[in-house]
Amino acid sequence: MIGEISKDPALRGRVIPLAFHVDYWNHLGWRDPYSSAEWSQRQASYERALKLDSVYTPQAVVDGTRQMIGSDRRSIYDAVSRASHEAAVAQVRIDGDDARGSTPLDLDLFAAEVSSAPATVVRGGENSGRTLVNDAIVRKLTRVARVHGEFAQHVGGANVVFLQDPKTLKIYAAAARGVSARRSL
Amino acid sequence: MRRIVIIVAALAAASLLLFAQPKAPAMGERTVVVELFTSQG
Repeated sequence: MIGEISKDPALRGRVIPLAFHVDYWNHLGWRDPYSSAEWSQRQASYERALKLDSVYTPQAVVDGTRQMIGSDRRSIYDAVSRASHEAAVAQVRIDGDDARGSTPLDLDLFAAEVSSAPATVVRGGENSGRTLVNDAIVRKLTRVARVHGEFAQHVGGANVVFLQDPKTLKIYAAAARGVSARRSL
Repeated sequence: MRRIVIIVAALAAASLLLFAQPKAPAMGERTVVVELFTSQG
């Protein structure tokens, strides 16, 4: 699904897909090479913020506020459409090695390194024998700073930045370096 | 004749339900982040 979003011409430059590979299924016979306990913790933070009963995969979270089954194309597209029409409260953009923007709220500036990888032939676990694509994999996510008002923060080689409310986890603004060129993700 | 019309209409409605695919969303101005929590395992 994440590959479909990243390659959909109608969404190019308007939607930033981020694939977080969780690690809590690694005991089932296949260790996901892109998994991290950090991403499992991030999903758990959404479980608390969105008042869910449990976590599951695949799970999609749109702008930190709406969640649905990660294979439910219709629900994801509906949520994307609604979120894209909300008023832009904050702004962020990537300018060289910096993220620049403005926000009237206290928000966390995150910087991510995102890239795709060759397909994986899974040789164990529930998906044994399947060849899985690996699009928009989050390799590194850094909370750069708490920002308010006009800001400029160094983000180095990050190719995605976003502003997220530290309490509600709502994402207010996001930008990607070369997001219009799908090869970059 | 009426029965045939009803059957044709029912088949047409069923085919619409079966083959209708969600269209790409009508996009506004904001860039949206879609996070997918997934696992190969």
